[in-house]
Amino acid sequence: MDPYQGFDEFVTSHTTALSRLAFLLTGDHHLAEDLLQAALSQVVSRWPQVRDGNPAAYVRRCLINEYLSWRRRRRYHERPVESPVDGADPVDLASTVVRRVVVGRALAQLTPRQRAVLVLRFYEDLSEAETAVIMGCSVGTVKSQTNHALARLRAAAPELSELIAGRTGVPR
Amino acid sequence: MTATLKDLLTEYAEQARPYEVREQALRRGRRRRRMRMAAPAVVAVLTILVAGATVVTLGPSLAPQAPTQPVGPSRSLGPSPSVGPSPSVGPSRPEPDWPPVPSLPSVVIDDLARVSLPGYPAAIVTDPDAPPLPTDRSVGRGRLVYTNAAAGWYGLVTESGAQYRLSSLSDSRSEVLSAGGRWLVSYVGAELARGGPASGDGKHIQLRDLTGTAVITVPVAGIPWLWWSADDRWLLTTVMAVPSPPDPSHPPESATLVDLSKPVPVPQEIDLSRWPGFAPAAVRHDGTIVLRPVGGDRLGDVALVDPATGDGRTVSIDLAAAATPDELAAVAYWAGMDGLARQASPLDPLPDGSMLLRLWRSFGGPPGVGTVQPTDVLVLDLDAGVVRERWRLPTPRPLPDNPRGDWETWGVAAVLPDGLLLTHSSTQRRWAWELYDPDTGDLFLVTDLRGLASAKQD
Repeated sequence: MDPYQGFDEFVTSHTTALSRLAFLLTGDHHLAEDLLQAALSQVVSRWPQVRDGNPAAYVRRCLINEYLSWRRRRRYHERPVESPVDGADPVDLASTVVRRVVVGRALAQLTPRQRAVLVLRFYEDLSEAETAVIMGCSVGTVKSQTNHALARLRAAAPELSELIAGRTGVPR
Repeated sequence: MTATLKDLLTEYAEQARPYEVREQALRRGRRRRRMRMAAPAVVAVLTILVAGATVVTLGPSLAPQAPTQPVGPSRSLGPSPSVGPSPSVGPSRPEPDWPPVPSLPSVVIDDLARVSLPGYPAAIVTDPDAPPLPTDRSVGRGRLVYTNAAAGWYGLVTESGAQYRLSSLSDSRSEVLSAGGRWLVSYVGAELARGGPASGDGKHIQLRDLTGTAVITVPVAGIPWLWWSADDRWLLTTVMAVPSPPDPSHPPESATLVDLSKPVPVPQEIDLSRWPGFAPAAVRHDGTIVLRPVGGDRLGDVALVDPATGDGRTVSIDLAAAATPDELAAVAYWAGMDGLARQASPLDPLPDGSMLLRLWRSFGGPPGVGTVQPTDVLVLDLDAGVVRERWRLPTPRPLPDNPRGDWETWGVAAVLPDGLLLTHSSTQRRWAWELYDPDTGDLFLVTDLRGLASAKQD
């Protein structure tokens, strides 16, 4: 039996979701591609064990772990972070393009762990407990990292403050 | 209209493209899986010639432009102005079939990002006051043995970074490590330390278990060659054929196999009389002996021999699918020079039974005119008879400010889950252990070896 049976189908059906998650974590197409490749290679190496379980959850975990360790290892590769958006300048948040730029720059101000927590909590809609499991830390750490991440996000992009403050429903 | 943070993140994430990485992930993942099949996959892959001094003796004959003077200990590698071949002086030849190997940007060790790997210290500097190797306790697996020519002794570095003094260089012993570093092998032979292969008068080899205190003695009839399985369980020894290099009509060498997993290992004589024209090249994790044809004209042929019966089968692997004619010519050149392919392009076992085969390339002209340097490695699946992968290593290049014509090269020292551990070295000196991802070309400094007193020794 092919030990990688089912892997192709899994990747095909999850490419979009996984690509988005990788991009959210890195904010760069090349880095996202590298990250996804590295995470999927981990999945491949254990595919016979994970395919009958919850491979999507496993690959998400690999992606996060790889991202955190990978960021530590490859820090020298990273490009200088652009200056945060000057809050005094008027920014038209009605434009999708502008919103993306503002969000991207704000995310770039976060530490890898803060960024990962934010993505898992608010993009993947995971609970604090689920996030803690994936990141291999305590629920308390998730809470504190979340608070730090939101505070930093607000500081980095004041124009998002109102949006972030409400978290659940804010004027767009 | 309202939005949540999730909406903003979703909107941001929609910029992602569908990254098509399935094929690359499969390739990398398969390699990871193979490596994981044997626990801590530390595999020193250099075929070990037990006589370390013989390596030094043979060195110049294997590298036409090899220097004989040691390189100063404080020298550091600077950027190299050229990483490609020199202008060819031979007739023009067609472009290689294999895509050109991407040149590595200038590597300055001090500029590399560092990574820490368990069992690999950040730097190794010769300890002039290293104590003698204790006989009453474990010291842990060895990482390398070096020659301290100035002080006149061999030194051992363990995985914890501890150093021990081994025998004196004048003791007519040679000290090397097994593939996985568990065993320290001492060859006790009257002539070997200085004599080289032609004057050997071997007596025995002594194996010291560095993870314990056991000492095992294996008698040998001449100057021994050693091959280890990747897990250090099996040791295959042969004696060097005389005359050297042997010709294909020469009777096969005798071989002895030792199963070191047994409480009392008993050397087993292997009957190779049914394999004329072949010589031992490797031993696999299951004890299967791998033979290769003597000479360099059938590089892809191997024989897999059952040690219990001497029966076996031959496998022919088409290397032309994975290597250029230039590379195969360079490998054949070395194999022919040495008489046997084992040193020119050894087969180095991986834990899953596959083998690494080192490729060579001639720079500045055809073999014999240019300088032949090691380049990439092929992963051979001997059971399926195919080349499974080609791992691209950094391209060798001449050292800067280098009147003797030294080259710096990279060789695979171990296969780890995070990538390949490479030994970055020049002709007579190791510079560093570096972690390398052959898929991306990322290179990281693991252990700085520039502080070692001297010498390549395994």
